[in-house]
Amino acid sequence: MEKENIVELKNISVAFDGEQVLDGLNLEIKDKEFITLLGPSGCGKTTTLRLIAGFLEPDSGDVLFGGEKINGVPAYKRQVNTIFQRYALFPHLNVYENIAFGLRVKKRPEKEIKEKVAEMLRLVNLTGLEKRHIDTLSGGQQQRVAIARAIANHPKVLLLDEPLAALDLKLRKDMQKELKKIQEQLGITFIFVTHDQEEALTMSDRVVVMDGGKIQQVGSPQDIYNEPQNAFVADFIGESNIVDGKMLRDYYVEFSGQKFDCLDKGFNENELVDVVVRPEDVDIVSPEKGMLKGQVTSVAFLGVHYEIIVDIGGFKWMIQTTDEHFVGDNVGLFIEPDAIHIMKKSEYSGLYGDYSSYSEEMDEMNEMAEEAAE
Amino acid sequence: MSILRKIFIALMLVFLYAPLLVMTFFSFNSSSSTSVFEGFSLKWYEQLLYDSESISALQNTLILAVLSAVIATVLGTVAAVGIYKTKKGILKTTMTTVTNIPMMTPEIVTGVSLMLLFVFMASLVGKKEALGFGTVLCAHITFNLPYVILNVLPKLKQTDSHLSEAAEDLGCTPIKAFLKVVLPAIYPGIFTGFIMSFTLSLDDFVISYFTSGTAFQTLPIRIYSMTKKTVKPTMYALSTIIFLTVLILLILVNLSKSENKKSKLRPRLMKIASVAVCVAIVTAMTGVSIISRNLKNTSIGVVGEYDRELAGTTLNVYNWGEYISDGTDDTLDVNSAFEKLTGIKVNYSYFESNEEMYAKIKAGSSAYDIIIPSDYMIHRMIKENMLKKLDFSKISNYSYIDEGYKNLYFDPDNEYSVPYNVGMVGLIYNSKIVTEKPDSWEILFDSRYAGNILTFNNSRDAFGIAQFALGLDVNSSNKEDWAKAANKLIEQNKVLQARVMDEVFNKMESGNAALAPYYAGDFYTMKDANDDLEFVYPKEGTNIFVDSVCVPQTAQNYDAAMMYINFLLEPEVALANAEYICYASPNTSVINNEEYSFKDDPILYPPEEIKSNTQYYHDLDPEIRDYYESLWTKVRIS
Repeated sequence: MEKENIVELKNISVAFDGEQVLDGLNLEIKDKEFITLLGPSGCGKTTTLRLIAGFLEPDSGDVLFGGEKINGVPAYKRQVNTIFQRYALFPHLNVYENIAFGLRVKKRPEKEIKEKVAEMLRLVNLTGLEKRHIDTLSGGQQQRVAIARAIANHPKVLLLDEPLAALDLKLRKDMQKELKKIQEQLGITFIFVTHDQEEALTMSDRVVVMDGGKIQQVGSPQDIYNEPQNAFVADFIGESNIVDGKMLRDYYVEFSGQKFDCLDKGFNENELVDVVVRPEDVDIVSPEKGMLKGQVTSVAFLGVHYEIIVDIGGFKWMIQTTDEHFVGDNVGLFIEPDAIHIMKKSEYSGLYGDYSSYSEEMDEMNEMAEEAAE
Repeated sequence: MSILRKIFIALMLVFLYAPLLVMTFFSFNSSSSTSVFEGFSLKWYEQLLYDSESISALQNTLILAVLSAVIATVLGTVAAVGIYKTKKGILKTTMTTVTNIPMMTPEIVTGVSLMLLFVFMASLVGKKEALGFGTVLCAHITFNLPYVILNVLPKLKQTDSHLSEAAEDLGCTPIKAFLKVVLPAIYPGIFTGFIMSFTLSLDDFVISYFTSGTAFQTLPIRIYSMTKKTVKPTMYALSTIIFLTVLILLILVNLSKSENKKSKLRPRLMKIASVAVCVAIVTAMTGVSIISRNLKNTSIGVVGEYDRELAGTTLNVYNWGEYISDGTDDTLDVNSAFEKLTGIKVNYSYFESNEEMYAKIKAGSSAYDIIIPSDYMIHRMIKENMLKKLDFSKISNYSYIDEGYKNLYFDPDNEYSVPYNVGMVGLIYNSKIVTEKPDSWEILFDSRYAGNILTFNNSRDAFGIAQFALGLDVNSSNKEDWAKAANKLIEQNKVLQARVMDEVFNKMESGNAALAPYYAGDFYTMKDANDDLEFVYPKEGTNIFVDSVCVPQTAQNYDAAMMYINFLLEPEVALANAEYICYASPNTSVINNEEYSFKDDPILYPPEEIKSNTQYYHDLDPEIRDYYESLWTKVRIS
């Protein structure tokens, strides 16, 4: 049975100081689903979250909650709760009082508060830390208090604004699992905001990929990964080689000077398209057996696999393989039909998918810049 | 290293607390000397009970400090939040800078400009008495505000900007969110701001001085204006009490903080204790001030006729500090006695010098009904039409004034002034060091006593000594005369220990200096502390001065002023004042009273040959005044 929409955003536009942050956004969020808003910083994902929380009003468009329009309803009257990026725990209160805060505001009886807080502490594995002061807790513990505080109020929807960004990698992975578990246990809607694609794919029922104030694609993690709708999505979710191609006819495409069988259809004859090939779907073979031939220009060892850049007629391909190759090796590439994904041309065509300027360093710098911008 | 560090810390503590310890120590001294400890006594604490003026000044100061700090804290916090929430960069920096400027501005500038503003605004609404409690409060709030903002703003910046959103998210309205979450987070800043404001307000003198009118007096102003004589040891007692109170409060606050983590009950107890201490102090003070008023001796028999027609009105009296019998040591409380007799409320405030009084009257910022200036200043004020003629038909007791003090040069027709006190300058010397009895001002220039000589630290009196020594006219309009006197003074620099005013008491009492010219009435205060001191009127003659009661043109309650002047001339009142102030009285009922302890005293009432050899200082031509002031500067720096 199709679930009901708990939150609907209809044709939402928001601008700050003349800069369009959200541009005609439409989104339906189903009850009890784990949905993730994914995109680079400045894409409008946090703004979307704040609209739902009630910290922000749209310039135009409607926000619906359970089918009712809630434009203008202040945050404190909405049945949603938020987990903030830096938790925003109340420093003057201890763990117990932080979690009890929402219940106290609602003037629940003391007995109920006590039971509820105990239950929440059990849920987030913090039993015994009731009297601790916030600043004596570790980052992970603070994160758990923030979760307990937000869900103690029984929200219908929980909003999570990059809640794991401040944690180290190991802790982040654990918390991802735990959040997913909590969501299943509580059976409420989670709207999760992140710029980490891996996080999005691991946890979500559905992923909303955003850029430039617009939704680029909505779908299950598998859909998003396997069937990206444009070069932006293909590049943002995982690594992709994106090359210009021509759809000769259904199931037959030409790129890099060769013709390939594929599984896509429904394009005009000789329509120019973007062709996506994921680095892990390419097999490296001897030059004579390869469909494409080229030379290795760089090799990086990443533990699970090697990341190899191969120059094919001036276009740099990235290939992930467990076999070792060396710079200067002449190699052939073998691509199965199901490894090829065809996309319509879009505004993003030509911007992504070429690894000619690629280096580890660049990637790290980008990441740092992104974090600083948050 | 560690020894050095310990020494350093010890020295630091000594420098910080030695003054307070010395003050506490001397507050238990049985004599009023600041140099000799003559035995343990609580008499200054007891006397404090009788000093209702100081107690009420302290009360004023505390009320002012608490009120201004509370209001400034509320306003400052709101302002800080406003500045913090302002998004536009330029507006924000401008606002921050503008709020910081008052902190950089010299206090004197703030004080004067605020006074002008208040006077101007009062004149717009046609109010005569511009200054009072309200204006001082406004002024204090003004200078406290930046400190609150400066303390709160950084706390806001440190606070997670999402705190308030988190609270709203959990069901708080924005106002509730601010109160429940943001306020506790920035509370340390607010508290520091409050304490700073309280302290600044508590000891502010300059700004309060300019913005307080006739009716309102704070403790710093009162202590500062006690300089016609010395600061009374009761002030040491009062300061000790204040210091100990603050100390106890601080200890309580710190205790409550350090216990914070162990249990919840203790800090609450501490808070209750702190509040209890505050309440106790306020209650005690109120009690003391009520008791002290009732303890005062106000019973008196009068000669003149007084009615109660003006009961309920207020009389503003502006006099030198310590220049009226005020009920201390079971003396008569003159002002309370007048209030009791006539029902007129007396507002009594002090000035420190004639020039200060003149400036305040001239500025027109306050409406005094009674002032008591010295001769030359009366001369000037009459010339500038600043005084009202007195209605002598209402001053029947004027008949007690000695004929010798009527028709004086500054008021030749006895129209504007009624003499209050008479004083003469003489030479005080320590008979242990100066063995031959001096008879000339020349001894103040004598190299044999180099390093033991003091002189006045005000131009007119210092020049006077040189002029008498040289046989020059003290009111000369000849610049050369002044130049000669200046040369004499420059010559004196070689033998001089210091130029002093109030410090003369300490230095002479302790034997630190051996020779000093000073006012005759003050000699007895010094003699009490050091019996080796003697007094002489030098043969070249000396300065005589009269302080007289006058009524400024700006007076509001003329009839009450006449009644008050008549009252000051009452035999019992004049006697009490003469005993208290120790200056010579121009009132024949005092001079001829057998019970007067200074009757026929050779120093206060010297024989005729000495009295005839005296000169009054006249108000000089502005050109001469400027000239000798420039010479005075030269004397002091050469």
